[in-house]
Amino acid sequence: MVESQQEVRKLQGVVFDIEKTGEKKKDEEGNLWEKCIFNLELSGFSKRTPNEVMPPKLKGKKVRLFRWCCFDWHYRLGVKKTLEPDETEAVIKGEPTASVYW
Amino acid sequence: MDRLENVVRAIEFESPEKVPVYRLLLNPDNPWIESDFLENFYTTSRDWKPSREGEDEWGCKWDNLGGKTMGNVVIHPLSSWKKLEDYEFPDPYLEERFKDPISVSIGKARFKIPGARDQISKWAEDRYVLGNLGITLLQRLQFLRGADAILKDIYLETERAEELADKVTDFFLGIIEMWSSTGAHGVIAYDDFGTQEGLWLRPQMWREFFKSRYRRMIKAAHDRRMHFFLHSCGYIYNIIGDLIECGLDVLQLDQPELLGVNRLGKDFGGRICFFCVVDIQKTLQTGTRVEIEKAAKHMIEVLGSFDGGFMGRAYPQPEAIDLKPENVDAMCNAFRKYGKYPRKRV
Repeated sequence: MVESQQEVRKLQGVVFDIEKTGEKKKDEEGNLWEKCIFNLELSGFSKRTPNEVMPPKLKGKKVRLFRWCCFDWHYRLGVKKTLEPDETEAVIKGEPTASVYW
Repeated sequence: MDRLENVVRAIEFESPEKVPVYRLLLNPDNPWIESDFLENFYTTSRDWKPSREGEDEWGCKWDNLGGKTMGNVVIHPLSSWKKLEDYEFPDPYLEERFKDPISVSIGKARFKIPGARDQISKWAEDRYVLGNLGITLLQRLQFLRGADAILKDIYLETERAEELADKVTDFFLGIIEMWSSTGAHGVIAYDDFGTQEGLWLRPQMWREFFKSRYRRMIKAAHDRRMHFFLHSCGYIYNIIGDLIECGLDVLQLDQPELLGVNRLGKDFGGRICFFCVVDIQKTLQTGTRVEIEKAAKHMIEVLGSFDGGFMGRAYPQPEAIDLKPENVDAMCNAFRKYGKYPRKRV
């Protein structure tokens, strides 16, 4: 509803599995982050763009998304995860990127 | 990602970078310096003059019990229905409400802060601007008629109570429209529907009397591309599902432990954004730094692990409830420390 920077469409999917890659990094505050692969089943666009309709071919499509995790609550399954606008467009165009593929 | 986008993402469940934090400081240069929000107030009509000490613009006389808390209303302007015929409702559509400096009382100190529009241009920067609706529907009706009287009216004088409630709702619809003209991103209603044990009235009666009015106000905000926040104290568990049905975006709770954080997460997590302080009657009041940090982290985990859905809030009047500043610091630090979402790069 609120127009902040841009009102751009973002795909969302439900997380059904998270794989830890073993690659780790510390942030500026000393928190240890691990690179993970989120396995998602696409469910639709976020509610900020209510008029966007997901192409039928993408419904239920499974994608893999790289994210860095740090806290236990980051590994929750069965919840939605949002793709960034560039990742959303890549999925729609069918062109995998460094952060999202299938 | 700027602060505004981060707050919007938390509310809309769209992968914020971090848990947004609301904090008001007694800093005249910018009280919102440590906040992702700027909460803004409207003031009274220029024509209004109190006819007695402690009176508000609605004609309610307040006894503030020594000035530390907001106190309570002791004279109700519509204690008799006969008074309704001549009663003049405040006009929400006055530009001066959003322009004129605002009188503030903290303890015994009284001072003026810039008007809403000036605050926005001076302090908003990339913050999320929240327009305060003030004391909203049930409580405004209680102040106008008397706390017991309006509850009886809803059962016994339904038609008159409906008429009065519609007029009060119209005032707030006007204020919502005016906030929209200032560029606010959301509005917040303050309406304490609960006591420590339960709602002021049966859930079914709440649905019959208040639900459609809340639906109207929420729609008015959404039509103007603003979010709707509701602050509600007490045990309001039985109507949270109804509020979600009405389209409420954010529920602001100061007593999350009273409702049960785990239960809130299980029943409503991912369906509404929670905007909470560590419980002001329990852990934040008496807990150790470690206990406060644990409670803040627990809320992030349980309410905020839905790709958003949780925002931290520091109680804006800590002195009114004798909160220790170090406890508030511990809570805010914990929101910042643990409120980081999975990210694309480190």
